[in-house]
Amino acid sequence: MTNPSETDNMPFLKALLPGVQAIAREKSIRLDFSASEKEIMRYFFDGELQTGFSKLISSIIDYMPENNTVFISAGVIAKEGAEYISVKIRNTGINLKMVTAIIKYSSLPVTLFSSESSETTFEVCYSLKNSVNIHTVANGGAFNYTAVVKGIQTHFAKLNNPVARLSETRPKEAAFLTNINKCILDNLDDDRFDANALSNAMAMSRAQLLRRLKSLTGNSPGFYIKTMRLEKAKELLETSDLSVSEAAFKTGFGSPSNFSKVFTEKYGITPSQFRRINPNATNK
Amino acid sequence: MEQQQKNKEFIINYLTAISGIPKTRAILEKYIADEDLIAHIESFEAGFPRYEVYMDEMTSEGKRVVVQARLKGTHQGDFGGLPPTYKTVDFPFAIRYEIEDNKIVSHWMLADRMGLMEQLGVLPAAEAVH
Repeated sequence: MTNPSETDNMPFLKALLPGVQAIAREKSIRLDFSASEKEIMRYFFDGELQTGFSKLISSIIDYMPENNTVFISAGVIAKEGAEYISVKIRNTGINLKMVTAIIKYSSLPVTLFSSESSETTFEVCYSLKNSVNIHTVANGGAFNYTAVVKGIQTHFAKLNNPVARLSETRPKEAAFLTNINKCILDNLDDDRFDANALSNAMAMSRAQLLRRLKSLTGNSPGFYIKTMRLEKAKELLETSDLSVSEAAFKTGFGSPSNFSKVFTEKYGITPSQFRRINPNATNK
Repeated sequence: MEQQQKNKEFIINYLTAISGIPKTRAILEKYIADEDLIAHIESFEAGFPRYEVYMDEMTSEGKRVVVQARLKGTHQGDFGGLPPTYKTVDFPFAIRYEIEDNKIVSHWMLADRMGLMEQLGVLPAAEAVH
């Protein structure tokens, strides 16, 4: 019987993939996740593990040639009478057994599991019962992963929010941007609302709008509108019961397939996958 | 950027290929067009047969790759006039390679020779500084 304070670690392990997708995509590296168990119950998932895995996989990708694959497989193994979570990370394309930098700079209990002519397997093995980081246990308790993710998201949202940034130093420009944002949000479900429509609505020429918006955000009006559509769609997938198609239409993407393509390009994960791994989505 | 990555891969493949095996001229010439480096490797191979090289850190820029590494081997042969001590050593060194057309064309290296001599028992170990 499962201890009620235990949580399934599998979603956290699966979430490693989108976390390193951007760096993998840059080198055309394919990521493949597999698991021998449906769920891995553990008391908690240390925050250090999440960061450690991302860094470790990124570091492996860094040394790999392009167009190869990283296979990540998770399972539970028994060793010396105790149970451990074993995460194996196998890369193709190059033998990294002599690149000690990968193990040396990792915060995880990682070892070289095996190597062949042009591939390497690393293994991270940690106890199913005890924390990897004893300090975390001493401080007592479950690591609130979701809260930390939210905190980080809020922090970066503020940094990326030009209105908040400008309101203190350039209030006129902040007001201008607020109007632009409102105008786009009012027309978000209209897939024909483009840069021309925005310049008309703002009573500006297309060139004026481009110059002013680019100087404030670094983006063209077309790109800015697309980004707002995507952010709103992502928010809807996170917080509402809307299906992926409904979210697409509601944010002005003419077709769900186009939405899926654009979303995947930006976030490195399909909208359906995003919905599945999102703990806050209400329509699981 | 792509070339720097390829140079890094080249050095990983090269050091992995020569680690733990007899470093024959045929293997070395597959990767090296720098006679000084080949001579240097041959002198170490004579003293520390089948020595291994572990890459602790690596940086690539232009045609150059700089590696912070460690040499691990057992002193089983004559090394610069020093008869075998059969001691196992593990000492750090830094090496910069210059690569052209998939060959190392020149290098620069700095090794912890003092540390090596201490491990071989030739020099007394330096006292720890507190």
